Amino acid sequence: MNSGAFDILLEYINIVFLVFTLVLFLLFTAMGYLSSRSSIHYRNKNSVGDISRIMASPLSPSITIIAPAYNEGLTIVENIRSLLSLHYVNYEVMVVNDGSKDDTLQKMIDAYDLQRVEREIDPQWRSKPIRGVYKSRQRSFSKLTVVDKENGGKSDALNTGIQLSESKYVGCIDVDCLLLPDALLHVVKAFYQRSRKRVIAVGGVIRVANSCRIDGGVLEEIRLPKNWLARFQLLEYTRSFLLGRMAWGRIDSLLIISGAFGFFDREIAMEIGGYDTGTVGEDMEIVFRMRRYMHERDLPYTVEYIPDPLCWTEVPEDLKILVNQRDRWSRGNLETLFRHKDMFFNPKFGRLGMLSYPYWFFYEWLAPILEFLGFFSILLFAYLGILNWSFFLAITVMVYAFAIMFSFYAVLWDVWSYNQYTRTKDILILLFCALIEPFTFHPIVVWSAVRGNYKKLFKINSGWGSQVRKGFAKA
Amino acid sequence: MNDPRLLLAEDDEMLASLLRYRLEKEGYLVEWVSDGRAMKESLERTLPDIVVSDVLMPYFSGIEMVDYLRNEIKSSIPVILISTAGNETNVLNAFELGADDFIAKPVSPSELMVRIHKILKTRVA
Amino acid sequence: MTQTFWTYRPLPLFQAPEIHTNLLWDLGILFGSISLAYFGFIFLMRNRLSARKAAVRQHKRELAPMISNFLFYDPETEAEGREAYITMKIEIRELLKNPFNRRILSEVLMDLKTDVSGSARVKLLRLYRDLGLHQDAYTKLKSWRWERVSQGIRELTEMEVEKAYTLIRPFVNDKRGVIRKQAQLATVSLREEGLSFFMDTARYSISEWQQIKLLEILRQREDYNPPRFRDWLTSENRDVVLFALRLIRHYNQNDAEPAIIRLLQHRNTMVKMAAAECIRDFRFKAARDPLKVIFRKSGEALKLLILEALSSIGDAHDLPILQQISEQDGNFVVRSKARSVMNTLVPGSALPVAGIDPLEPVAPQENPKEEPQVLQTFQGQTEINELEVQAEEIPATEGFNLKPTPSAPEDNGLPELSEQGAHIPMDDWDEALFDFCLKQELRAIMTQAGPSEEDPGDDIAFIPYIVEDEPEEETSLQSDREPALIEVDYQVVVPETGNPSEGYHHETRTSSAFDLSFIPLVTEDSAEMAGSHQASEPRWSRQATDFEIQEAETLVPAFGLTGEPEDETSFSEPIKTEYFTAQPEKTAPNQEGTFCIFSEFIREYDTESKLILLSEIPAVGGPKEAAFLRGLLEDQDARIREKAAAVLEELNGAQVGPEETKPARGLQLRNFGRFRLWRPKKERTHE
Repeated sequence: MNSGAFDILLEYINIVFLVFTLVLFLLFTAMGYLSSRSSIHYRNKNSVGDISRIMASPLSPSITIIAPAYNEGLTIVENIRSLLSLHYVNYEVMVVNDGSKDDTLQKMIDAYDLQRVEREIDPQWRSKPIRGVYKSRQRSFSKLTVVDKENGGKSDALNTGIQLSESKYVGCIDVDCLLLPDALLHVVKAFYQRSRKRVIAVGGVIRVANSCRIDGGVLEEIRLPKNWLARFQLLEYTRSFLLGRMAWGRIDSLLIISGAFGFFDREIAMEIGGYDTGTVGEDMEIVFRMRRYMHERDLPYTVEYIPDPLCWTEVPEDLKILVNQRDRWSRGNLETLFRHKDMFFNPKFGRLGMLSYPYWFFYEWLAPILEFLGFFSILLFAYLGILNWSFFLAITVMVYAFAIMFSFYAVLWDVWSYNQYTRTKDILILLFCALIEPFTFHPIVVWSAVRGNYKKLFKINSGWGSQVRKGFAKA
Repeated sequence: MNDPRLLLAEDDEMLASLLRYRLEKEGYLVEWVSDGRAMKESLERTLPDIVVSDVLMPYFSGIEMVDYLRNEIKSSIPVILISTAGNETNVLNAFELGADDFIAKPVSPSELMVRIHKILKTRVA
Repeated sequence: MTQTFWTYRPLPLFQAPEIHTNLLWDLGILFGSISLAYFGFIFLMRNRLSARKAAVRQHKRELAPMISNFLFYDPETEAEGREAYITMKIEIRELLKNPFNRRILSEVLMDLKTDVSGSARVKLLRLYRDLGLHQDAYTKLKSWRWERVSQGIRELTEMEVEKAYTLIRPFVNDKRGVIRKQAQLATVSLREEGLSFFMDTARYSISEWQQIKLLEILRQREDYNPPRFRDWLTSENRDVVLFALRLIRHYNQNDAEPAIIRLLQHRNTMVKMAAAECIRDFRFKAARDPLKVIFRKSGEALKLLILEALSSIGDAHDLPILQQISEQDGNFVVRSKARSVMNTLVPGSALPVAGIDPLEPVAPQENPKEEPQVLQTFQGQTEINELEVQAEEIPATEGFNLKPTPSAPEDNGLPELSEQGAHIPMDDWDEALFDFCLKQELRAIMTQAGPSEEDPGDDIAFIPYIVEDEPEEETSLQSDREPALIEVDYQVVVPETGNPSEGYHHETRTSSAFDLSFIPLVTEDSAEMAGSHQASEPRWSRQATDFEIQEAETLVPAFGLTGEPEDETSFSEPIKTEYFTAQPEKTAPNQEGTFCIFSEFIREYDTESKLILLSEIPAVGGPKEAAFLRGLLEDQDARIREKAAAVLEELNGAQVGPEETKPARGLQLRNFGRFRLWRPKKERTHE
């Protein structure tokens, strides 16, 4: 223990952690500031005007909502009904049955009186073969198109939809999420309100629908989830969407659009060849590639973010599913970052290369690993008896206080912006979650991320990483 | 016939109070409910002579109400729906289920009066 | 307590700064207390929100019966009713002394206004004004906070306070976006003339969303008599043009055919698409050829639109080009669309595609009978084998040195002659030369294709088209530009009154696609216009060219005498220029205002596309292309040369006329002087 080399190592670890923490604090403070400014601006801007009259305008663009379905037989009919009742005229719902093994297709055919139609398909397009395209015989379901294809994963299903769509914009959503009736109007507004930049993609908030009262595809009452795991995720989502993405959106550096609610300019999406089927992080990867495409051509563009709560989804309440989901997210993260590694601190990509990418690299990908290692070094030091206890305690308390502060701030903004949880008890529970999260929920997330990274790195080396077929774990 | 009893279901309080004032001036006995649940409770308690209801209501939509009246309790009391523009499919559904008339928002109170009058007249005759 | 995290040893190269544990504790306490403060805030805010909600509710309850009473008050009513009405009027005035009440009442009336119609609505609007609530909105207009101003504007718009129109109007070009947008909506909504005012003065870009909203206001207006929107097709604000096109389509005003066809050549894709939509819907037959010409440079969406338009205006004569598209276009959707359009035009004309080599000469055999007709349409007679020649040539792909102009697809759709002129590298000399020639000829074709009153413009990319017989052009241009915007060059053509065939002033302007800070102003006096032109900085001007022409004609041979040495040495192959510079001298007088469709396009293409274009020449172009073709005889690519020769022969065979007489060599030299437009700037300044 007295060897100089070990001391040097310790000192370096010391420095790394110090710098890491400092930058983290600065970044999060900046994020809080930016997102607050952004929220205030957004509210002032949008308190003006009513957008519902616009839905039938002859100038409103066409939108295709693509909803991939894999073994959704139980809920598919209801979900489609809800998608068909959005407040918009010029849109189409395209459900892509990704080779379901259950009766998903038959249920849709029966419920919506579907019949096969002839569609020419580009032989050049690379996605799994299409078995058939269906439309309804009834006029009231004329907005519905069902595509039946062989199983190829979510990205492949979305690609098929993007290719078959003839609309100006495509929306990629999870079929089981609930869109509010005004969702498309907000999306069109986001795409159309810029005049100097081309809006290539629009993302939005995902809200947690667990325990909410949903009836006939209508969100009737917003409630706090009863499940603790879902409550933690609610807090996490609030933080990430209300503060994180809001801030990134403000400086036009948004790098991720949730797979559950993302809209794209179809022309650009086609140009870049659609989603990458070779990654589990396709929703992040496509934004990377679209941004890169525009950057390389030097075209003025932007990615918009809608803070209004338009998309509601059920988050996993089961620990195993949650761990799998986070595991998948971190693998996707790693794959995307690796694929676009040339962006890392590359001034050619502007803020994208200098800020967003490094942030994702250090704080979304590396942070859990560092935390994990840090935890074990603490254990090791304690075991070796070299841990400076008073310092350790002080820094832990400080980091903890900062985390609480950030979470509280997120809740504060949530109340200010929406005030959707009307019962005081709900807010107290949420704040309590924030207090205990660092010891309870957070370790789970870190563990999942480490596991994902381990799996990914290990499997690449042993060469069978690509064999894992990705299903449709609920996001 | 005594003053006709009318159930007004409308979640916008101001519009409701406006319509109510007008209806009462015309001599209707108005019961106002602001959401679907209250509407259902009221219907379970006692049936009015006519129902005027917004299509989009929390908890229990105008369409569900028509369905409930016609198919569950087999009542034929007249129903007029108030619908927001752009909800035509909903209105069509409602007609299929047996709604008698509909009026689009923005509502002209005088027009609503005329329609209510007409429906009640044909019913009585 | 001055230890670091781990026991400090002075060995490493870098050392972590010592951090006092006390500092950490302090920070921890700081963050903790901020958290506590947030905690307090959260509940404070919730309370305030709910308190306000309750107060609003309470006030609304109080106000509701009064409002109802006012709205349904019947003057014929008996005494007590009238009394109650009057007491309420007094009461409400008392209530309104409280600003909170005023705000609530405004809100309530605005909410109600969207829910009621008929006489109740009229009374409601009157009530709003009677109670003086619009005064509050006026005060808001003076606020320095943009959100309050825009709120005030919105309130006045919603409550249809017509008198506010003049107050709101100045905000139409406000630099704060939200206010500007709100004011535009207000202007258009409050008075019918507001739209004209807005379209005339709009300097900023108008987002798509704003256009949707504006149209929505117009759509809701009853007995609306829209103005003739063609007047704004000449606007210098791109978005005004775009919006005008959309309004034209929406209100079915099919009286702007030539202008719309001209806008197909606009640099902006959206304008092009809007124009193509109009053409499709109004079936402007004259647009057939321009549509075909812009086709190849278009993106998928525009291509599909063009094909749709062709299917509504085209006929059997369009089959060859459709055939080509259906075989050669890179996009699957476009190919199938082309086939379906073929079948629409002539049922059964589309061939099966699977397994057929797209490069085989299928097209000529397919409709051999139609070919002559196509060609006759444009030049009277020609030979049928032209397409076969082309078909043999198509497989060629490489070795052509005309580099595509590296231009952004969006704003540089049609490269500028002037830009080329200003900075063209000497290697591209010949390319630039025949460019110019082609432009001339393109004009000729456009005048043929379009109606006779066509305004012969030079720069097809931007020139606003004037429909009136009076050849006047709006030209005023302010110079306060926003610097960050994309600058584009365009030319304004000012035909001088009296002699339409001579003396066009071509000015190159530097302006910005987005910067629309100038207010268009129609001047009638050409002298005045000339003045304003000189005010702007001509980077390269055709006026100078005209001067050169005269110089060249009088001081034969001008070429080589005035030029700078390096200028000349840089001609790698000076002789070939003689060929194609010769022609315009002859044709210019009788074909003033003509231009070559192909010039703009051919430069951008690869060899293959060029060959295709060339094969179109006999059909679309005609004898005027001869010069251009002769230029191509010297092209570096053998196939182009052959093709050009073949087409040229075809043209020569097809016609015998004065236009084809070969000019003498001296004349050629003179002509060469005439077309030396691309000299470096410093040389030009000598003149």
